[in-house]
Amino acid sequence: MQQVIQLTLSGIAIGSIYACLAVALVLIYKTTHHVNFAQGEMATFSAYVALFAVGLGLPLWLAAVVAVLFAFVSGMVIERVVIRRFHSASATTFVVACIALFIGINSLSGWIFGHDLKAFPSIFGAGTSSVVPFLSAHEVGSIVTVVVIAGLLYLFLSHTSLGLAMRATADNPVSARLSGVPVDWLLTLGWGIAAAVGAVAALLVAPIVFLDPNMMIGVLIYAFAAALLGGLDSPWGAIVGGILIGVIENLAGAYVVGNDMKLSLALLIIVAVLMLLPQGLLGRKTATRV
Amino acid sequence: MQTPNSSSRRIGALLIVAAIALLVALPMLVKGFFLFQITMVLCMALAVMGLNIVVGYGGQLSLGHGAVFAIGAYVAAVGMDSFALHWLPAVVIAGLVCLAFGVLFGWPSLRLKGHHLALATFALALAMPQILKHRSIETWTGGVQGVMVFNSPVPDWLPLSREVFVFYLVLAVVLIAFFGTAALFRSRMGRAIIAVKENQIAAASMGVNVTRTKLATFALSCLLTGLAGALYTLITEYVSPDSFDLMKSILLLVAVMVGGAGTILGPLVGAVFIQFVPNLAEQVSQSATSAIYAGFLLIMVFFMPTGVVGFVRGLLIRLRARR
Amino acid sequence: MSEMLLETRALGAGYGPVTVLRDIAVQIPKGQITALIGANGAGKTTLLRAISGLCATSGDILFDGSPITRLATNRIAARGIAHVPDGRGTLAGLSVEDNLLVGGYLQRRRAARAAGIERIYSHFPKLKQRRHQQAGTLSGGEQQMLAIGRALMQGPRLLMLDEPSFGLAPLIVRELFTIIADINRTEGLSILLVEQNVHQALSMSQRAILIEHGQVARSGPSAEFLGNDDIRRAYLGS
Repeated sequence: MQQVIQLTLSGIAIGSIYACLAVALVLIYKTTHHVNFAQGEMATFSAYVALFAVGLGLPLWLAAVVAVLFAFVSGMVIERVVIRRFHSASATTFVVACIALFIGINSLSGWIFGHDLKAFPSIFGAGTSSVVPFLSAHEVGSIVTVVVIAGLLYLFLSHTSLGLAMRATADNPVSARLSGVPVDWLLTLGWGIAAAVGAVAALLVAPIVFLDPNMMIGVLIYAFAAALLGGLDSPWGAIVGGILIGVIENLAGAYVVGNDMKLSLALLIIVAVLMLLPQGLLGRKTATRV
Repeated sequence: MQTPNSSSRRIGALLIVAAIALLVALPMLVKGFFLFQITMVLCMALAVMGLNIVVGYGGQLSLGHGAVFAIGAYVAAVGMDSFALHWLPAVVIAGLVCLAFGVLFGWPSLRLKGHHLALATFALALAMPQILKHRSIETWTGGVQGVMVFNSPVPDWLPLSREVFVFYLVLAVVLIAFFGTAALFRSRMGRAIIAVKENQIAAASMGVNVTRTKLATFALSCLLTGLAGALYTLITEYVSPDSFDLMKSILLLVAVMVGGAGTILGPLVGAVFIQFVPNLAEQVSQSATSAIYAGFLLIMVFFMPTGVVGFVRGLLIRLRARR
Repeated sequence: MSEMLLETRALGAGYGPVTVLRDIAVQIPKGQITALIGANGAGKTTLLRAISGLCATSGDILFDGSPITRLATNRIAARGIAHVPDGRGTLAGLSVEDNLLVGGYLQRRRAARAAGIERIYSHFPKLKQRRHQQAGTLSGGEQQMLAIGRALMQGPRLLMLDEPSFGLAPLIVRELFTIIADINRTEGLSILLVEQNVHQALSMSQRAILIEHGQVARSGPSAEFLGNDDIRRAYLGS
């Protein structure tokens, strides 16, 4: 029983990381109805930037801030330079552009920073936490981080006029434009925010699995599964989905499929969600009357 | 108006006949490694042709055709190795297994609209090496080791070497697939596939069953790619799980885009590209290959959305218009 | 003749290779309702979209004397042109109040936005009752009112309405047009009205523009349109 509790708690911790990346995917999906397959690779690159900053002598927390800011800016640049002209393209063209970014950024990470595994320290320190039994400080920190991100996101979307403009952009870009909302700029901003949230996920993953160019690929499909389970266009659904999937992964990994099948488990979850729950848990079912 | 069109069609037909004649004569002209490479190009062209049906004609995106290729390769390898099958039934069964897999795997995502097929197939591509290595099927798949296939496919009455025989076999399958798909897209079914790509709602209102058509498109594409996988086993006599990773799927996508999605000749051009570019790129650095792919993908989606074949065709049309 | 608020010169517009409007020269006077009439597909909606920068154009559009031709849509809105697109264009997933707040996006001051919302609610009391409801769940008439309310929140100098009566019950239509005429009278707001119901449009407007096959066929005081036999036969069915 104790083991179940422990696995559940650490599942929530790892699920929080999936939730982070899933939120990043959903933010972009909501505004553009496209899935950014390069989200994980962009995040990985930002984690390398953090490690590079640490190497320059910055304290870890400051390096993390630098990495997140870097992600924010580079996310906006990528949107402006590459993604911009594919917003209204077909899903196929868009995903191909994302795959190009995916392998491009992946090889860039390897080329600049090398392909070897690199140890990456946790911002929350090593060792166990004094607050929650069974969990390490890093795991507690991951959970707190996703709660903070969710809170900030809620404040931004529901209580600022920029957040409202972003929701308007996601809902009906033409009407938003006609109301004076600078839709193009908000799409750029959305990519920046998503990239920043994704970078946080990478900073949380790196201490667990070591940093290498392919670090986020596995996390990305868990984030896909989480986003799908949550309904693809709901950030809150993505968080719930991420945590659920973290718990499922941990319990199933220990008792059902074994740890060598984790990617296959993600595949199974994705197919199961598509089959049984295509709307997801919190997906939008807008009631429309005409 | 009709004359240039029919004359260009005649030139096209002549070119195709000449190309086939050249290919048939090829084993007499080249030997060894180069013949092997050409066989590989043809085999990959078949796999790319499969993906091209989904991407170019079906308007859906599969990021997991490398995994389908793997299933075809493994089914053929296991069939010949563990079950001592003759190569012909092994290849046919591999194709049919992939066809069935296409139906089963495609159904959950293809009845939804949007990116779901891309998401599901992406996960499939990532999971495939793990699945192939799994303990429960290790007796047949050999786990990390993979499967060696020692049997000569050449019939006793044919005085051909193994390499030449496999070359002709692959060539025959590719030609059948080539003319088969060309005929398909002139048929009722082919028009339904294209109608669904262009406008799902309009297609549905004309009485096309959209989900079933998308599913048929995907299954057919899995059949071709799976057959290519089975032929790959015959060519290399060896399959291993880690050679069918995500990159394999991306490679097939690169080939479709470079050749030209939705063109008949595109897969061949794309296959040549992915067969020879890595050899050139690896001389530069380890990261160079994927960087080059990334660059080419971006160039394609930015400037040449119809690929090399579409680009050349556009050039020809413009040249002719100027005359 | 009163002062001109909006003027187009040799305006052409279209989508990709398709040209819809050719050589359009129209003038929209200040403080009046101008009706834009014509058959389906004549180019009325395209003219509004051209003014708002939603489609490719050639020629010039002057708003209050300064060119707005190549501005982005949101900048044109910021200049003071509000456009209620056809098919309502509410933000279906947002609440009624959020819809209005989006309309007030250009209003930097919170107090001004709050005052604006109260003003809209005084024009459309029904919206106040439904303020927390998702816009997509409103009836057709309420959605149209919300769309107009959102446009008014911009504090525009020109309001462009694209077939506001489309698909609504006659009783609702009458209520809607009463409110529109009322806003024009009390606030002096200039309105460009695209309307299928030509009689309705001509009788509530001061001036009218007839578009046929992408070109201006006739323009002038609405009363002249109403008295013209050709117009009556072609568009009024009498």
